[in-house]
Amino acid sequence: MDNQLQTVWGSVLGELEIVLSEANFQTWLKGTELTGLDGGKAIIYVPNIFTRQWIQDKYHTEILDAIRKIDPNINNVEYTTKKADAKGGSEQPKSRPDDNSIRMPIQKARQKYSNPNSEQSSIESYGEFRPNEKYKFNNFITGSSNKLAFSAAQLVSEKPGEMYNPLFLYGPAGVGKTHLLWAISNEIHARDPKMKILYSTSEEFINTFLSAIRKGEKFSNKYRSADVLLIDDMQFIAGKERTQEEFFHTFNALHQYNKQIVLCSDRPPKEIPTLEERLRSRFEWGMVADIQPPDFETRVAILMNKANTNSIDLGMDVAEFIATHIDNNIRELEGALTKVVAHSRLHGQPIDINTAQEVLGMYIQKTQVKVNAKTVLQKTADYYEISYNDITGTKRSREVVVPRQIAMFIMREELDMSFPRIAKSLGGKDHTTIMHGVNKISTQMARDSVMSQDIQSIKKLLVGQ
Amino acid sequence: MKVAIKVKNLLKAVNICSRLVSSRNSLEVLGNILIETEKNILKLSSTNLDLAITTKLGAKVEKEGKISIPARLLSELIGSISEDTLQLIADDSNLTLKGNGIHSRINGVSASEFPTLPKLSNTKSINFSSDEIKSNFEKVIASVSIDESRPVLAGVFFSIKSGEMVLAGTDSYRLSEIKSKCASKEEISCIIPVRTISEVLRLISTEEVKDIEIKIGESEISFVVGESQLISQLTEGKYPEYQKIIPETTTTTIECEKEKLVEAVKVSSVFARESSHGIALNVLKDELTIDAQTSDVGENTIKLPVKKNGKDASININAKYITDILSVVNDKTVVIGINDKLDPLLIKPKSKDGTEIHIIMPLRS
Repeated sequence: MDNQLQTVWGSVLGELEIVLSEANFQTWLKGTELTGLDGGKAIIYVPNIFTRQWIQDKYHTEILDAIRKIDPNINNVEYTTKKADAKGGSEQPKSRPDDNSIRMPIQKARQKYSNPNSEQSSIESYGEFRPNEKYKFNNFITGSSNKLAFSAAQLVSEKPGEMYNPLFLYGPAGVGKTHLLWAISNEIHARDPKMKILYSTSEEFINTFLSAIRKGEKFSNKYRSADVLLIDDMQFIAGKERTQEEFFHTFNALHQYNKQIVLCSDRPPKEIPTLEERLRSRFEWGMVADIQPPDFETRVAILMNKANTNSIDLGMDVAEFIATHIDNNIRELEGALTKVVAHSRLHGQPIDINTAQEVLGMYIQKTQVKVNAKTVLQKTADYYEISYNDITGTKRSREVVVPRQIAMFIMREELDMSFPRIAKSLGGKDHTTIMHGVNKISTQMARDSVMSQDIQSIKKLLVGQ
Repeated sequence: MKVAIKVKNLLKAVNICSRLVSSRNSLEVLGNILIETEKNILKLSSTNLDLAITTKLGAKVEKEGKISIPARLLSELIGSISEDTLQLIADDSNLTLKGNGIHSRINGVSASEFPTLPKLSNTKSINFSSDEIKSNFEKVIASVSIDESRPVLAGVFFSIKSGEMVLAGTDSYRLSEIKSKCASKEEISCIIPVRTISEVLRLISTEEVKDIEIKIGESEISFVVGESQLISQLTEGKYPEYQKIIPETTTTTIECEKEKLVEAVKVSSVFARESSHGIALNVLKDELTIDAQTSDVGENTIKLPVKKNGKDASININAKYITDILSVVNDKTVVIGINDKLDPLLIKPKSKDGTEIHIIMPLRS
């Protein structure tokens, strides 16, 4: 409600409250609002027709007098049960103050009963785009790591099908790919609700396709009828040849009619293994933009923004502390903030460095479970499906050497082991061999994102034990 | 006020009005029934500020007047006395009841404190056969949401256009729609709160009349059922555009005896103990197989013969939703339409020729 209107109405209510009994005031005037004050007429919203009738009959003169004390130009008051400019078409529960408190528990119980299991599909989500309010452009924090992707996404949402088609976004987990995908969908939907927007994960695409095949049906043209097709986690299509084939046709059909396609993956098209060449080249037709893990400043900005939207009083020092300790994944970053806030509320402590240290202490420890040289070797060997003896042995074939060097690299990087100690754990190699191996991996990693993904995955395996 | 009245008429009127009265009101007068004279009749009214009911009864009015009296007290008193006629005498704050042997005085509240009932503006008026409207309402409210946090779904969609009346109810997991011919030339589209409908249904069974009149204003609706009138607010908002989810054709269509299906689903639900009450319907050749299982209970399979058109199909569905719908379907034979596993399931009575349809959304597992 408009601030000025609220003030006017507040003082009118203040006057009436003195004249009326508490019960009368609560029953009839709670929940009313002044929604307009224009051209000599005041418009008052009342929660129901009974209230409207009563106020009109009983309090009209008092209300008019009180309003005229503030604005003498008003000579008429109108009462309405319609909230004209309410968001989403006044689908608002009628609020009657007194029995809301009573209704609430009943309502909750009812919801529990009436809100079915998550497997239950719903009419409203059937074949229709439902905006995901959480993810918008204006709550996406930009920094050098994601600027390109962000601007491309914005352009696409302004002119779907015209600018970059397809738009291919890639980056590691938890950097905001899905956020951008939803932001594009929301923006397009807001601009033109008639646009048929289809958001899907590649897994859903594959499943729909497979079930069509299994039943010997023609693949439903649900995807081909979209105006905007957004597919998340595109990398999972790798290796699924018939799905790729079907996607190829879908892609062509849409692209031909300038329908916007947006794809997301954890790696660029050329690094998705076993992706058919013709698809790969198509993915690169439009714009390929990467999103890197956020830098320190962006991380701080993300935390401050999150704190702001949730009205959390977060000091800069605390934000910086969290941002220093949690890097590269925004989900974890926000999770850490939530934990700190929850902890401070629970224990009645202020949100300060001490609390953060206390909470994240546990958190940091948890992510750094004790890992020794042996586990690194074992997990790396497991990851590449070679034996422990191979990785520590002397074989020089490529399948063994690369994993061995990666293990060296991880030991050096994560365990901070000296070169001679690494050499010892690998069955007494020369420490210069280790130096060479570590260097080789760190240079190659920068170029080869498959390898860097592999290393990330092995690190995760280590933590997850 | 001075009135003479038959006790049994008064009791009926008091019972109709008491239903709306709740004792949990901050405003004392809302727990009361308003009694007033209007020429030669007595009028009783009550409201809970969502709904209001007014009912009229014949009386011998000697002196006009009005007063409001606590509903519960009045209904307890009238319900327990065995007099035939009573005399009601009221001043501004007391009601005295005099019979052959009985003499009681009830403290009331001045009628001027009682809410004035809303006057309907710009009303459109339509008449219906009460049997028809009752059976139609009963069919759609089976699907209406009981969750009041979304008022639009806790209401029945009511529309009249080009001689056709459409009623629909949905809780977003299932949907029922009834179409019927309507002589009225009016165009109407509104949402009636389901609580209002329940009250109307009760009124129809109490009043035993052949026709009822519905008056629709800008934001309010009124039902005139015999001597009683119910006034309610309409639900504000836009009803979901449900029409597009109703499948025009189905790739599998089966017909089966309703009673057999009811029985089979009932048996299966014994084994559908998970929160989703999931059962699997499998159509294979000319047989419908219903499977249900819960890991710590056991499992069950039941088969029944069906007449099939189209191909074989299978779908997972909440058993409770099927039973709910079958309980309102009034036909010996039901038709079930299935498309894909994740597409809506269609149930309709065979004889109704598409004027009555029910939709259930499947389970995703």
